[in-house]
Amino acid sequence: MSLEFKDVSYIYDADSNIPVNALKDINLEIKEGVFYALIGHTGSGKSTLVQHMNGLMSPTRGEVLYNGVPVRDKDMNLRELRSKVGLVFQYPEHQLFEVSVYDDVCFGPKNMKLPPEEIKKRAEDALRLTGVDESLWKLSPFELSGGQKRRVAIAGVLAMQPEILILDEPTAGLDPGGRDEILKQIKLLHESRRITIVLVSHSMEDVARFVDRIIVMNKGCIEYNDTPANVFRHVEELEEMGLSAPMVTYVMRKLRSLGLPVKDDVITVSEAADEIEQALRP
Amino acid sequence: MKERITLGQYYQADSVLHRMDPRVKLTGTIIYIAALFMAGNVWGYLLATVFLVTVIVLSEVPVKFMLRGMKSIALLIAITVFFNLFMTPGEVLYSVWKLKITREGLYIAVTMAIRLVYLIMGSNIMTLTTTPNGLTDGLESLLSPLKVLHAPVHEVAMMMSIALRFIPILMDETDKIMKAQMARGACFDEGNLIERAKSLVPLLVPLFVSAFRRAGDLALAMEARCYRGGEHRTKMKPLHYELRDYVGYAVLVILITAAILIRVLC
Repeated sequence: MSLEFKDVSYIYDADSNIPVNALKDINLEIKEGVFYALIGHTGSGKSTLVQHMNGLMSPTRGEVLYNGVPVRDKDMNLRELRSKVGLVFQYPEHQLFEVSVYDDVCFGPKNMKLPPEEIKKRAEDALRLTGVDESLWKLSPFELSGGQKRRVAIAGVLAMQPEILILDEPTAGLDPGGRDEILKQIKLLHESRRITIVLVSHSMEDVARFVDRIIVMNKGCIEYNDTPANVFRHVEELEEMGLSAPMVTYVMRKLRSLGLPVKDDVITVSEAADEIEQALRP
Repeated sequence: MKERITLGQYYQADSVLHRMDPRVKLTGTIIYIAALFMAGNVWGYLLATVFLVTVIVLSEVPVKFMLRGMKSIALLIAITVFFNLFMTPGEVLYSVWKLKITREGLYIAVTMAIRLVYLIMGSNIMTLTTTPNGLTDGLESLLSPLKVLHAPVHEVAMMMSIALRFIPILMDETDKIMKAQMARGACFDEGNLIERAKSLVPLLVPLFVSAFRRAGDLALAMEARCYRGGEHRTKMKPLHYELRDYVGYAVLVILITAAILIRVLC
């Protein structure tokens, strides 16, 4: 599996009087088995970027290559590409339509024209992986709670057994408990299946805790593509882009400025606790 | 997806026509259409042309936008021209196989085409220079005498503005739902008629669910703000006439008088 962006630009309404340059010469490689986070302010081009990954949008200039083949190539089977690069949109309400949860999850595999036994196997597998209880399988998707709908939506894409799973704000609108559960489930998925994950998120706390690398977008450009610790070192620059670092990073910086000898690139609470303990130990 | 629908599309600009009271523009459109259909000779059409060109220039809307609106009715015009051209009995000018072009047919076909094109262009100018809300406000105000007859004028106007307001929202939603389903391998332009109709189910179900949810939310939000219909309801931006509007009415009176005079005299 390889997914690569080469000098990709995308312009909205190119022929109108107000063209919007949503992506500017993006160069990016999504590496196999890595858990990425994609962060950026509203309008930074995150959604446009992820929609280029599975060919829902095609670049105005440049190429998106999947396994070395340009996505907009004539030989590219878009349906197959979309089953390999699974994209889950933000609102589960936009995709749930079947009479039951189980049938809805079968929609993707059915479109892949798989044999019935395989569809059944994949759907059950996906529902278990996302932690949807078996008692819910025969219910209408419209009867579920927000968090459960989210899981079913993810299962619907996961059932196609993609190599990359892209999740657009999977935790938006969930309470903290539901948010943590979904994120843990995603992390588990990443660890058990070694599936590549791209998580679009607003929450720096979530991102710091779970991902391997962070891609920061600003005004259509990629500003950083690095490990969480390295990215959150640029607190001032991030704030200028309308982003922030995790709360605990601010606390550590403050402590350091007050004279406590702690590192200031700490990004999770448990790391911070260890660091403070170390610093206070005589 | 969004580019395809131009009907009722407002073009942002700051021309005299944009600032004009929507009531003048609505009345103007009706008078213009009346004048257009009264035209029976060259002078009548010339009058309509002069008025149309003046209004287009005043509107500051690029002609490109007006022509875009014409595409949708091109077929209608073609059919009208075709039938009038060949089906009108009269003096034969030219004939191919069983089809005969007559002098009368040619005349009717040409005038019909001109009328249709002018009609659409004229009403397009109104919708291009007036916001949908302006249109419904104007319509409500013009129809308010009907309230005496207990016609639900305010309610109809409110429904119209809500419907118009929801068009872009639902278009946006359709786009998102299509993408979400395409990401799961759905295809909306493949297979025979029955397969295509079936493929719309994953699109229509979420769309209807969301439309009903939005309608419910909106009703609740309106009630929470004490909305209870048209009685004693005031407007945030009440319509009032200014000098340019009176000038507009004066021009319209001249237009209709001239049209009648041409009709009677020539």
